[in-house]
Amino acid sequence: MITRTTLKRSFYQDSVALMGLARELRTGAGVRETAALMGTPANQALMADAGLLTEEARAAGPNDLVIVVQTDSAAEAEAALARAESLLTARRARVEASGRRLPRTLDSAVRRLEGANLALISLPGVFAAAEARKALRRGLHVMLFSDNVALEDEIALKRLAAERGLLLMGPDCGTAYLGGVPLGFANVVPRGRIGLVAASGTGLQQVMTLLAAAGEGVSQAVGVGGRDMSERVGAPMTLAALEALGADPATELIVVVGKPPAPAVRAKVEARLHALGKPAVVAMLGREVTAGRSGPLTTVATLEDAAAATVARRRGRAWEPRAFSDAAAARQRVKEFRAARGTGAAVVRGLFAGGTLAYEALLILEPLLGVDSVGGNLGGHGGGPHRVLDLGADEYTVGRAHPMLDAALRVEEIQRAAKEPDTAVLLLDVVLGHGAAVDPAGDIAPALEAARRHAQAHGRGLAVVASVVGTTADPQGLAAQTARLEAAGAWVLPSNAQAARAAACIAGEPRVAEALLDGGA
Amino acid sequence: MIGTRLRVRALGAQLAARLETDHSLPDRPHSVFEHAVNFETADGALLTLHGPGPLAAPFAIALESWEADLAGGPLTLDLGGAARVDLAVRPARNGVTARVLLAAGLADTRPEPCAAGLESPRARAARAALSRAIGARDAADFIDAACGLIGLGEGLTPAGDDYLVGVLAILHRLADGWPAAGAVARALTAHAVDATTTVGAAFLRHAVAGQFSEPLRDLAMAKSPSAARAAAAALARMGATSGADTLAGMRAALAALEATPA
Amino acid sequence: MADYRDLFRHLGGELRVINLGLESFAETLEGLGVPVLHVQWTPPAEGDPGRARLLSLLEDEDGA
Repeated sequence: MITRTTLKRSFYQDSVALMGLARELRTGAGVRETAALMGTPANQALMADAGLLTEEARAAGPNDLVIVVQTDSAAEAEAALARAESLLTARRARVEASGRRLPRTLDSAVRRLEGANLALISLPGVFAAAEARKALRRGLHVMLFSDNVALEDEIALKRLAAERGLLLMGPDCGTAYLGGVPLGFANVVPRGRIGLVAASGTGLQQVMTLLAAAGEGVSQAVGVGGRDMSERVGAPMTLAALEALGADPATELIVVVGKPPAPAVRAKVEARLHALGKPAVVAMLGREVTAGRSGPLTTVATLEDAAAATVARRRGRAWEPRAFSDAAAARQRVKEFRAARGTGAAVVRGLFAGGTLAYEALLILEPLLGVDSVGGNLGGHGGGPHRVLDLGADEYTVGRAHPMLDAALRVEEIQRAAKEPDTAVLLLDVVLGHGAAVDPAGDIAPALEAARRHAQAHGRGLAVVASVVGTTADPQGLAAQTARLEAAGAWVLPSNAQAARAAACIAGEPRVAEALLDGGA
Repeated sequence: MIGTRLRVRALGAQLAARLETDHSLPDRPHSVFEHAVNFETADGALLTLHGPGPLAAPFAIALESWEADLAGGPLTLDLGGAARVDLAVRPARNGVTARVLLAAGLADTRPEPCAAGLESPRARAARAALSRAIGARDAADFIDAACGLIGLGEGLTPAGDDYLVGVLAILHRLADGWPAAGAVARALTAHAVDATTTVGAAFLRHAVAGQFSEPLRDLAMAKSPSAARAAAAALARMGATSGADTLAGMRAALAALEATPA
Repeated sequence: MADYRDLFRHLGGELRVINLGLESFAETLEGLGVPVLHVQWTPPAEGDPGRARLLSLLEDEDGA
């Protein structure tokens, strides 16, 4: 039995909220006993009566909220406390410095905040479109984080935005970076000369963090949502952002990140890029992408290559894609992991928080392991045995927090995958930055350690291969997060693409490792 | 810097007298909720601002408009048109009539408190001891039992505090305020400071002095059975279980007083 | 389509954000010193998304 405590100092939330919290705690999976009480001496006695008075609870004062849960497992305790945390955060009234009450509508907010120029909307999809429309009418740019917005609404909203010279970033836009300000889930990157337009949040994050690692900075990064470059929508925001970046004196090179668009749209986008007269790198994640160079445009097939090609262009160097940044080290580790593989264990199980990262991994694994042998929930053709799961997809996040914020689901999947005797490799992404969990590596490390021990006990070695999308300046710290994963036995590679290749080298036929490593690449 | 003058619709008469000389509010609120904002003044007193409606605490201030902009610098209170509401519960001139009215008002409400904490063995023991102390008019036992309830149970104002506030309202109405005077009052107030939340301590401090929220005051001072019933219903709706816990305290005190020869 | 060439010149001044939805986004911006106002949003039109959408479509366009 596990007992865990959360202490919230000087915490004031009305009784209705506290009752809702207590109810939420009681109904948690595996919860045996729970208390959500102010830390008064009398309540500490009550908790002691129930066997719930922990050290932390004892340290509470009367104006502190004490939450104690007693569960069967540590994971269930952590999940219960995490749910409580998100409930409290969602209900807590924000207090501004002068103690003003918060506005209840967009209109009153616009009246209150002079010069407001951007609405950041992460409301439920059904309401988000209406609020976005209001914001555009009031002359605000919009970042529409919400997904589940109807295609018709997206088309109409972008038409409205285009009429007024405004940005409608999204729907499903998780990351942007405007005027040096990170919006949504965004990493701390230096300001610089590279402008980006992206149809994907985590895709953008991967490129920006790799650029930052190479010392390059970002001027602006505009998210356009996953459907912008589709035929029906017609890429209005992509074209608008490109026009803006073309005229922005601070932007010297442009990067576009997306999936291969419909041919008519592709032609429009490329024409615009050619007309801008600035060098451009285009990363299109798809199955039939031909990398190459055409005038100012360089087309690449992976997020990592987008960053590498950009850096090379900036420094006037030639550039070739390569499989691993440190081939010698990779060779060694692959050899060790292959040797430790149990007999019959040859399956890669990818468990991803970032949808685009999962997709990129799928695209890399398919040719290496066999197109028909990689399944999962990304709409690929394969039936398995390898699986790449996007745990942030709708079917996984109904009634649960997104894996970028809450590791409970990923921990469950790690445990499940570890129990399968044919699992050779767990492939993971860990995403840092503003908005992400406080300690994403720490949240999954115990489960990874347990998984490896479990495999060990059954006579097989389980390889954990990961990449960390983050920068040294991120609140979680790239180095600390990497170290935590490595301490848990993970092999951490510099990019999602390399991690996917590493997984294929470990689990696949010997020819995979030979092709990717022995060629000296 | 231009401040905001907040038009007050109503406030307790005692609070109004205190604020006559100083209408300003502290810069930073103590706590903010959807329907109320608390301020702690320099001398440690708590003030609650809320919208139009019955005064939810003896230290509450009902504003003309809850949509009023609380932004823009220092806040001052405009007491010009404010109703000064008497929130004191005073001894009944006719105790028998008062008991009948209170019993009528409490009859429709649920017999048990809603907060689970008040059902714990610890709480039940304290409640029983409190009832006995009231029956025996034993001030020392009363203090002990009351201290066992202060800070106990769920809620930002712990359920035990709400229960005690209900008890004190009955005692002020039917027992001349016994024992809440002098040393007992000081003992309870002092204990509350360390034993419960800031908001709970404020309620208790006022209750000891015979000052209550408007719905509770209306129930304790009701002049007719229908007024008593309406007030009880309004009180029952307050908070998550606050109202119900307060009513439970009132019921217990009423029963305990009836157990003794008048 | 309007002219987007001056977009970043206009935005380059200062981003001033109104946040509807996840509070953590507003918290991050506050921490960075970005002017942000969080909206305690409640559904309009009695919580009916269809009606809300209609309402927003019917809103007065004046001055727009």
